Amino acid sequence: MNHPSFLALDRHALGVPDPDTAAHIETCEVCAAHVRAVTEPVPVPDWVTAQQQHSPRHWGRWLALAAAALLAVGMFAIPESATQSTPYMGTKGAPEVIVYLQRDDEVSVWSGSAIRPGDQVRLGIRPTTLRFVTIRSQGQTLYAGEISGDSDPWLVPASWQVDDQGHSESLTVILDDVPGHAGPSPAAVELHLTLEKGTP
Amino acid sequence: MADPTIDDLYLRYFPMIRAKCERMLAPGEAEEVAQETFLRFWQRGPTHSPRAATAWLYRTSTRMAIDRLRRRRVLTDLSQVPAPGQNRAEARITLSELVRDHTPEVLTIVCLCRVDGMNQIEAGEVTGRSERTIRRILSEFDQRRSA
Repeated sequence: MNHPSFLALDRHALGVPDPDTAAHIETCEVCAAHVRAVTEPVPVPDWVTAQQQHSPRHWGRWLALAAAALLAVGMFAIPESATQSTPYMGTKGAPEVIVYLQRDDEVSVWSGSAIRPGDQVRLGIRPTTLRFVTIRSQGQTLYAGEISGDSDPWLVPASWQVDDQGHSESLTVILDDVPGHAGPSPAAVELHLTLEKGTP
Repeated sequence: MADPTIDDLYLRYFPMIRAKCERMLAPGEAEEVAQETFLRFWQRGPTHSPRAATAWLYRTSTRMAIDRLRRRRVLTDLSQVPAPGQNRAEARITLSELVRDHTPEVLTIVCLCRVDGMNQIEAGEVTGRSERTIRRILSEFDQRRSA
């Protein structure tokens, strides 16, 4: 029996009309099972709802501004006090994590100053040979994935909005040479970051 | 029409993204690539066309999975993959050989056709290539493997 492609089955599941595919599914339990599987309700995980506050329509502009902020880092000296207050984490030669803040559509590299509820936080990573990143906060995994491409820094394709709960936000960034689900390898590097909250 | 929320998009698209990735990768890696694909999908802004959305999702997830395979050199036998619309024997390809011997562009087309079971029209729509180009790439791929 010739089956439709998975693309055709997925489109059918989404309601795209295709009489041939629909007729096939009526008589093919294998394909019908695939359609059922991709249309069954699933729970929405925390890493999805954590993105809800962030409007994707502003993302392109933020990316551009983040790039501009990066250039500024290279053009201006960073005061020692700022480096001590961890605008990024890591030591020379080791992985670096750069924190970007978006506040009122303005993006800057975090200087260590207090963050505010409503601020958006995004991370950039200067990778070494460790290609897998896991980001956690308060025991929850916010993001897990592979560092892809050669951009420097690599921008985590997710951001998080600061809420008004508590006095600080804590993030743990784990870099490893194996995926996070495989558990930490001996090469894993764990970096901790605490962003203190202030009043608007 | 109101923009869909991220929850709406997740419920609608994530199961098929994950299923697509699991046809190429082990479950743990598939989940990670599916998550990254989904986040990029969300960040690129809403789309109201399932046809355009699925084309983008198949193209992006395939490329990201191939990128993962190129880095990881995962040994996966495609013969284990159920692929409606194709002769299963055609899929007896080891991905570790593919990532070593072929470019990402060729691998994307091969995976779309031989793993996802697309015909040349569908693969052309997803990749933006002509049917003639798809046919030529598949032919060259098969000739190279049989040589």
